[in-house]
Amino acid sequence: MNIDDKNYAHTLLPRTADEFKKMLKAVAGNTMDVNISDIMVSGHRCVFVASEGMISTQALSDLVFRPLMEFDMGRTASAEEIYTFLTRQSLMTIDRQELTTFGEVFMRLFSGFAIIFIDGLNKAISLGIQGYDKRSIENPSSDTNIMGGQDGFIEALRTNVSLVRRRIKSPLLKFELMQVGKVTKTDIAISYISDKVDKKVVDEIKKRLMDIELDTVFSSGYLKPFLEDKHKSIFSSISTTDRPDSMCIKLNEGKVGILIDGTPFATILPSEFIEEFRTVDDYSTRSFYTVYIRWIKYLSFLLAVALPGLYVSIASFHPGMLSHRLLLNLVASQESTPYSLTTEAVIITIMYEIMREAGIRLPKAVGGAVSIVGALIIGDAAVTSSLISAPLLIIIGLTATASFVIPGLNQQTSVLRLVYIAAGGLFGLYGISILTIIIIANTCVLTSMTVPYTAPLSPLTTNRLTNILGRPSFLNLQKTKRRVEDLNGVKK
Amino acid sequence: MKKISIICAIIILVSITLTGCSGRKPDNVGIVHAIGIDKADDGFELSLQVFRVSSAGSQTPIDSSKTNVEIISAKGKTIANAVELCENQLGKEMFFGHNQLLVINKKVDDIYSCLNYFINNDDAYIGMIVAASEKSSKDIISADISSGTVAAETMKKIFDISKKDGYSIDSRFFKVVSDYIDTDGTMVLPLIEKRSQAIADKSKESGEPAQDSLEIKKAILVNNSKFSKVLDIDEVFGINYFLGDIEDADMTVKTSYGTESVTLKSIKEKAEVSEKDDGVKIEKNITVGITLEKEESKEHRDEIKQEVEKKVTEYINKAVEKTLKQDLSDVLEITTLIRQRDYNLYKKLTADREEFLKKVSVSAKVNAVY
Amino acid sequence: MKISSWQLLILLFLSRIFITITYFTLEDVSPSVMMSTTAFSVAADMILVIPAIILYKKYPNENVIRSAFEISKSFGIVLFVLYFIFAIFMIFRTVRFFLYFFENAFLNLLPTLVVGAMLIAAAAYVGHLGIEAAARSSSIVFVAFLLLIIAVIATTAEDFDLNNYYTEPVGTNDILNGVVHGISRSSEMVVLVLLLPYLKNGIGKSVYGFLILKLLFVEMIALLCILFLGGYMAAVPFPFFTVCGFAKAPFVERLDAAFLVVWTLMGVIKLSLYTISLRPSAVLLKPLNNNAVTNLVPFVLGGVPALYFAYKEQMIIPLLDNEITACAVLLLGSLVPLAVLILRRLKHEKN
Repeated sequence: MNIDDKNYAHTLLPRTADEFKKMLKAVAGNTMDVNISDIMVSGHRCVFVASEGMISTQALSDLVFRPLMEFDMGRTASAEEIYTFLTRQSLMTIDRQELTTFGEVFMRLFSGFAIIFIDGLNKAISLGIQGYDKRSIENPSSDTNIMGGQDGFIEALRTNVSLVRRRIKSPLLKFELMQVGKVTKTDIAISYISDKVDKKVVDEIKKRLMDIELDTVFSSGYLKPFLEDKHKSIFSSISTTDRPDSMCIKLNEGKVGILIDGTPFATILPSEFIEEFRTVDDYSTRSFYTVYIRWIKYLSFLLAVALPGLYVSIASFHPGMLSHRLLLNLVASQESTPYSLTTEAVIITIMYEIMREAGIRLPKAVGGAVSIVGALIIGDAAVTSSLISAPLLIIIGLTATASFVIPGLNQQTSVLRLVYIAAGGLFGLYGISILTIIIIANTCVLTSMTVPYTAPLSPLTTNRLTNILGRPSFLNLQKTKRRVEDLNGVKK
Repeated sequence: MKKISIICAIIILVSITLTGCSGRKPDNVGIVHAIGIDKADDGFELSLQVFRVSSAGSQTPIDSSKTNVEIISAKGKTIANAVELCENQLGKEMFFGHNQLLVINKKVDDIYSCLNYFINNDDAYIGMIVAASEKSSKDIISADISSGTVAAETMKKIFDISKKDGYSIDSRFFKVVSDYIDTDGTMVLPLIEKRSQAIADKSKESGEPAQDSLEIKKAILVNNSKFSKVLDIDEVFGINYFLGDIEDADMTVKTSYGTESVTLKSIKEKAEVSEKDDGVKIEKNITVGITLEKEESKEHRDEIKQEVEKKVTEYINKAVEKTLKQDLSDVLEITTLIRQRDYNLYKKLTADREEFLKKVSVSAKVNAVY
Repeated sequence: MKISSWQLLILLFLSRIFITITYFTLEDVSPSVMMSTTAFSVAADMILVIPAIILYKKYPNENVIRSAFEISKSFGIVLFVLYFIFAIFMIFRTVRFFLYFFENAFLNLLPTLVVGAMLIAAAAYVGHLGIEAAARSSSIVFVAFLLLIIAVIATTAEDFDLNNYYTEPVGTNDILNGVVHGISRSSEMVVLVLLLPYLKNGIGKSVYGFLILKLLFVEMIALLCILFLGGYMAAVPFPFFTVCGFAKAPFVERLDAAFLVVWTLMGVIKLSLYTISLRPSAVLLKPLNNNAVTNLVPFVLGGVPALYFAYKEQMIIPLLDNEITACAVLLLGSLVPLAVLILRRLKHEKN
């Protein structure tokens, strides 16, 4: 039988061990991480295949070889008997599967399964004895909370699944496994609670994922463009989280979560704009405080996006709007600076972005040096040398701090900030208003699986307005079932 | 398509940035705080108090102990012409959005044309104070009042306090223009004077400049866009009491037990308009509130009340006499009152405004309450 | 895509109030006459919208043009052309009016052509996105407008002078003039009959709600300007804008530039409505069933000529308040829908 790297996925397994080994090597080549061993079990030849570093040697010894040796107590057995022992009579591992094609064999092999091929049968068995090294569960890195859980997702899919399952013990929570990426065959798990989700949404998501023709999928960013609806927007109607508790809250609302092997971030859809301002801490604090903090977040978002642009536009084009003293101080500070406010704002924003990106990328050992350099260069030297004015530095500092309040919208705030500065600096408040209406209109059209991104504000869903103002009370939560498709404005 | 969009976006962005539209700097604009208009041979002399920072270094850009203004002056046929010449002098465009004060010399012939420039200028702040000056307006706005970041801030505060105490009329720009239009050309403006007080020993020895102060104790009538009679302080009080604009005025009354000091506040006014033989009779019931300065004065409440009522009535009568009878100026808002009560009567009477004002009789009944 | 009655109400309201907050002057009309005639004008509107309401109730997924197509194709085409021309004219008028205000209120701020081009581009984009974008954006703009009004009233209330308001007998001529002016500014009546297929339900609530809200706000803005400015109103072309120049908010010294922001937002939505309203009918006409064509052609034919007339002040007043526009609004907003209803009924009886 001819096998090559184009047809291996559907090529059936041969009957003989030699043929099996030959065909295996024809596809995998001499790759050093595939270990192929011949073993005799009860006088019958078997081929044992595993990927180096992916299986647990302890589990291999305890769960595979010892039972096999015990089976092999000086008697001969047929291939069928050995197969029956491996699949039905022993308790080697819970995750056992019959494999009939080389595609399945390689899939399992490189997922950390051990493969046993029995000479005389055209099928193999995979045994789940994964033991590859994985990171231990740590605090979530991007979405930190004070009173919520302190465990976050890691790169291993199955661990992430267990983190979610531990929190939702309902049998209605389902995980459907599929692979995306022609080369990487990345495992992804589509999770949902079956009595809360709209089945059509799940089917649509599965269809879109199956239509992906990419070779590689390493993170949620690879999947997002395929899951989003056609309308292009600066915002994304798909959110990500590295918190299991946050994901569980959203699953309970009828949303669908996608866990991707190799990335600690889960993808949730459909998502609304207001989701970015919601955290697990909202449900851990008193409602008055939640309301207070929520509005601080809204203000932070507006400051992060629009404050520099507004400042530049008002100071340059509409100085009458500023209070008298403020205007005089501003004029005084601008006397000695060489550039216009717009240019200064652009310079300092770009400098900040450089510092921020450097802070993310550089090794921790030199992190402190960046802070010192940043503070010295931007903070002190630039103002003292009259390169930029002090009020603008305060504005940008405030803006930068405000942008950290909503990490989920960091991409949007960074870009919009610059765009607003350009619009405000070139066209004043008129430019800002034109830009604002374009952004609002563009965002208002965005939907995800029929749920509008701007819900529940537009279309107005009055019984969900508490989501915007703060959070619904727990008494209210226990009375009403909240489902995400209630937000699509269709009266039921 | 995407490639074309990105290329177009880059071209547009680069083109826009190269046009220099982003070159506006706040310090390219001359921020005007106070304006003085004097009469010149062939038009107006315009003086502007413009912000100029006296910097102590980049860390403290404004030093409040120094003068942070400069006075720019130019003569032009019209206000617009004079403004242009000032801009040429300073090399900046003038910005009137934070202007606090507009002072017009009483020798200026056509007041409305001075105001008209600012009505048509959308930047101009319509809440600025309009005042008149006995002598040079340029002198007034050049007054060396060193407290506050700029002198005009202090000048505005002086006006605000004076108005609150009843020494000055509400002469904010929009009110003044509104009154002018409603009454066919009359208004009343506070009259401002500058006093230079030498700090006796010090100024002689050290050569320090004299400290200036501004005083508002009179007002001046404007009739048909020209300055007319000057009102003394009693008449100004009379107008304020009649219109119910007293917020916190002090009054000293003489009683049989001595001199008492009280604080008065307008509470309400109610007018009755009736047609008489060939004119109109207006009776206004004015209620003022009295607050006693001293506890002991409570024993003489009745007497104080009577004195207050008598004095306020006196003020009002003086105001009526000077403004209505002598000058035929409707600063007491008689016509707007009649217009509000009976439009047909208003239409009939104001066909000949002067005749009407001659025949109108105004009386006030003052009731003081504690 | 359907919109709710509340969204339609806000769309129509913002479209109408756009004109009010920048253009009404007393001219030779007293405040009371102006306020009374506004009330009569709204009363007339309440009668004129009846054909649109009946049209919706009988044929909820059709607008007047689609209904005309049911009568005959050529009748439908004729009506489409008429409404198309009306849309072009209204875009021309709105852009011209916007630029007129900009030239007067924010002289030297920006080149007029740039302002006009940006406005047209933004409106074309919102129009391209469709009724969803316009309707949802309008809710946000409405909130901004309310905040502006509240801030203005709160900061100017202490300077209101009740003496500035006086009553004057209202004559028949005044009423007729007021009604004609009111109708000529109410292009929303025409937009309404075209937007009907987008409405989910509640036509009565939207239309009468819009008219009541319009009356309330027009009177409130008129009263605010009158009580605050008094005689000063006669000296300025944009009284409400002037009031905003005095009003302040906690961190903002004057609200006139904030007014500009809100007004621009309203202007973009208003302009986009003219092309969005044509879309349900354009799908029936082969060359025009491309959204890009239906959206861009009116802006090119209407908006670009408006840029040509920049700085030509004499164009604006006749454009805004004239009997021809009033007749066009009356015809296309009320009489044509009535005619369509009657003809359809006759056709139905004949069949």
